Amino acid sequence: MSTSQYDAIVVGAGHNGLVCAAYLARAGRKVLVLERRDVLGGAAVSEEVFPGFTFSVASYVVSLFRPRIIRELNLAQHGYQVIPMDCAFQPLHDDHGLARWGDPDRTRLEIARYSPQDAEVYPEFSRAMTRMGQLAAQIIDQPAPTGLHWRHARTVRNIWKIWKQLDPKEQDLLVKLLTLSAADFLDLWFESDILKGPLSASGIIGTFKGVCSPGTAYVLLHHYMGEIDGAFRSWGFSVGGTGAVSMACARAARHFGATIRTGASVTDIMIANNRAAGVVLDSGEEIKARAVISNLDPHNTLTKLVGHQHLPDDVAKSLDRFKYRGSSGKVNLALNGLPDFTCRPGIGDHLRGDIAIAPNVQYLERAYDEAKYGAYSKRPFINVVIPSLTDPTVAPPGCHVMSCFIQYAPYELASGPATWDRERENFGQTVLDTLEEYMPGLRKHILHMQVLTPLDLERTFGLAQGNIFHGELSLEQLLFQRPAWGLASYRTPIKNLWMCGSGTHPGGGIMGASGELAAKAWLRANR
Amino acid sequence: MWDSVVIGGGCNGLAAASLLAKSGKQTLLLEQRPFVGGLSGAFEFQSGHWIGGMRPYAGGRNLELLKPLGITTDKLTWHYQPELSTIRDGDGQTIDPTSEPGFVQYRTKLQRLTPVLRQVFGAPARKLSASRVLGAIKGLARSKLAGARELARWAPLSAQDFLDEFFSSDSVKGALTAPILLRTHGGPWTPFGALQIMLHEASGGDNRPNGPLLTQLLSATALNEGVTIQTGHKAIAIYSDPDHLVVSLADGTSVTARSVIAACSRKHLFESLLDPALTSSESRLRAQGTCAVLAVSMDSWPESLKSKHILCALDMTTMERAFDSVKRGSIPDQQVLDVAAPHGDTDDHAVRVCALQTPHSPAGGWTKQHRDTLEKQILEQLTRHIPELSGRISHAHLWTPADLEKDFALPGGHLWHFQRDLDQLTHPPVPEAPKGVFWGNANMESGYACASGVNAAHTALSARNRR
Repeated sequence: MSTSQYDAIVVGAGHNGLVCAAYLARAGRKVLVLERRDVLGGAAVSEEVFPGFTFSVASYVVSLFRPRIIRELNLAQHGYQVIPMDCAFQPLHDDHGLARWGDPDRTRLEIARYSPQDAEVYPEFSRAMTRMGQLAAQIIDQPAPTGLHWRHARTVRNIWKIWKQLDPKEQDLLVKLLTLSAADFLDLWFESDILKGPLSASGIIGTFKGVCSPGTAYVLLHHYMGEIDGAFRSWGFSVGGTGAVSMACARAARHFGATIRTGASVTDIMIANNRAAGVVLDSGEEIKARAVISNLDPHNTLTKLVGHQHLPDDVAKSLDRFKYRGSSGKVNLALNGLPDFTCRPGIGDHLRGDIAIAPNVQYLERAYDEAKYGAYSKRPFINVVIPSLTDPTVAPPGCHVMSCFIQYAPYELASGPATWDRERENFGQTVLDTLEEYMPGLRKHILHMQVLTPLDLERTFGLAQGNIFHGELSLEQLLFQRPAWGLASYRTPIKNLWMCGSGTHPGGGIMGASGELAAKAWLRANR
Repeated sequence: MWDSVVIGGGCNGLAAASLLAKSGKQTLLLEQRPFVGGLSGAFEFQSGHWIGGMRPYAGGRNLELLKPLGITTDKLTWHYQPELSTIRDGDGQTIDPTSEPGFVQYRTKLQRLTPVLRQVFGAPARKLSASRVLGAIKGLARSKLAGARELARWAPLSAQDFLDEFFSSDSVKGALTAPILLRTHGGPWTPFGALQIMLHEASGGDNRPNGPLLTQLLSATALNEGVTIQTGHKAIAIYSDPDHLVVSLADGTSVTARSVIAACSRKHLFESLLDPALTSSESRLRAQGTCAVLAVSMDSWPESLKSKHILCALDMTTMERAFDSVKRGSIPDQQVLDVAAPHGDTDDHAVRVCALQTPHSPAGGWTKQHRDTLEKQILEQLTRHIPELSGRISHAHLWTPADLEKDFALPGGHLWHFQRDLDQLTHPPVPEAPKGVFWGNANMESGYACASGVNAAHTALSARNRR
């Protein structure tokens, strides 16, 4: 092939890659998406792991997906459908546990059992957080300013405008959100350690930090940026699993004319004169294109596919410093029935939302303390969802799928990451032991069990060190520093090689924002 | 009626009172303890044996603000002269960070950031004002933004991640991390530790003036200027009357004044002295102190030991494990110790040991058994790290963080009044204080000695002049 058949090749069909491809195709560019696996979606994937049971194998809930993308790509027509969750349930060793509902009055009654004062403060807290979340969402929806260049004047001005909208008390709150630990931040509002448990847990998801580590309050905010049908602060199940979101993006991309190939593993990016010219597949096939846009994380893109020899020293160094430090695992269960939670028996609405094994702040901090020396937590934080209660298509009648997100499961075990293969079974049993404390008899209902260690996440989904966000969401790795100063504009030091994954601004969660912003930046540069 | 009442006779209170008196104000200084000096003053813990202040790295290096009081560099001695300081690692081996290959680069980079940090965190203004931001931007522009890049990337890192970029020796990293244990509630793996290291450096590093000597000079100045000093008088509340302020005292009496300068901890001012209802929950300061002080007297001073300051550092992992214990309210088996030899009296064989990783209150409170355990562990570790001291120790006196809280009116027992976390430095919670009540802003980050007290006095004076 002497001439490039494609304007752009997108490496990796995660949701960001697919969003990016759809935008490029929509602008009339010829786009090819290459996916190593046989299924689309990357970590936002639905797979029938066991016959009749469809799992959102990796990521499991949706809320941050940008409404603008849904609109612009007509995703609703392509099958994007999210059912909001109405409840966040926290099982406890007592007679009721704590459930927080969409209905504020019901939530107040629940919280008042543990602290009447907190019950009164809770709505105020939600309001303040939602306001902060709306502001943060404005930052997510635009590219990060990458320097004091005139090109970024508008972005800087917008951010300044956002800051000026705040009264001094809110500015103080924002500084606290960016720098405090989730636990300290919640201490400013609440007295009940029980309530602070699941609230602070949202601050640690995907990071290798504890609820008492400064900087985790910010991640908390990520959980108030959610938006479903214009309603802020709701999480939802994607009908058909999170893979259905990716499939909707894929259908949109195809609709606009993009080509998607699965089973096509890219082993090399062809670079000549510091320009990306195309890719090489493991079959030896070479595909040329005017640009290569990688949905992989910065490590896989620049260190593995490109190689440090093609990169300036300072870039190579900053790539080495970019922290992944995966800290979570996943256990997926196929059940032939649902056992009761001791504290609140019966299959009620409290099981149709998000269930958090996070009884209090100390429990979570202890889980972190065990993990930081290189062992998985003996009593981990577990985020359980049972999507089959909301979306019966994912399991046979009478059966259920239960998805458990586990933290902490550090990629770097004290004995080295490779020992995860030996530990997988024990790790799974630890999770079941923990769950059995709240829902005894769970084991009897298990038909199949899939355990994903951080090493498995790395091998299966290509997530460096098993980090679910393509790199930790900590302050020094956000905005103009994601993944590094000078690399935050979706471009790389290799001409025509771009990045569109979660390792770029704004990162993490099924947002699609990285894919969208990367595509728009590329289109602006290649008019 | 007094023109001004100063609450607290630490070096900030003394400096503030002296300046007010010098400006012709009738000034009363109230100190709850039997003598002035606060945390920086010398203290006789046993007949004939003195320690020179409770805090390591006390005060600022720059005496500029005290010039009007006639206190200048040549009148003071310095506590942490490099040639008289030693760092020992967990095995008692002497280490020298300055001989490490990465040290020059490390120091250079930190020094480049110092003016920027001082501009943002050290200025006397109460809030992050436009002029401070502009000053910082100017500083950054001079370093062609390289400083900004480094600051943005480094500040949120943990001490471990930050120091990993310069050093390979674990004990060196441990030694450089030690000062942050006093500043914030964290360990070497706690995020934003790098910012604390940078602020420590910006506020003067290890070399600080001799606290007891400074307080001596300041109290002499105060008396000279005509300040009335009343020790053993504990202020318990401040009320505002239409045309004056009332300070009520623990003995049931009260004094009236036109203005009150609170040179105590600001948390104490807002959460105890003033109506606590003024302080909303979001603006409560975090102050969890983790430093215990052990005063130790000895029969004789080992000739071979020349150092006046010895840091018994630990490797990073051990330090982190000690922090885990602190978090859970148990006493760690090993912790970082900061040891200071006498403040100048060569006949005195006493040292002040700061145990930097002690929980404020262990589970069940400080029982006799807990106190004994802590004391025993500190002494064991002390003699293991500094073998020269073994067999000479005759007596020890312990202040747990809870004791410091009680004795010095320090909420949380935090030696620096509150945790030096980013939000508490840039956006210190400022509830409305009654008119006429002034307090020193926490700007020891500026590196100026007694900046809080001096600023409070100046604010009070200018407020009155305007009126």
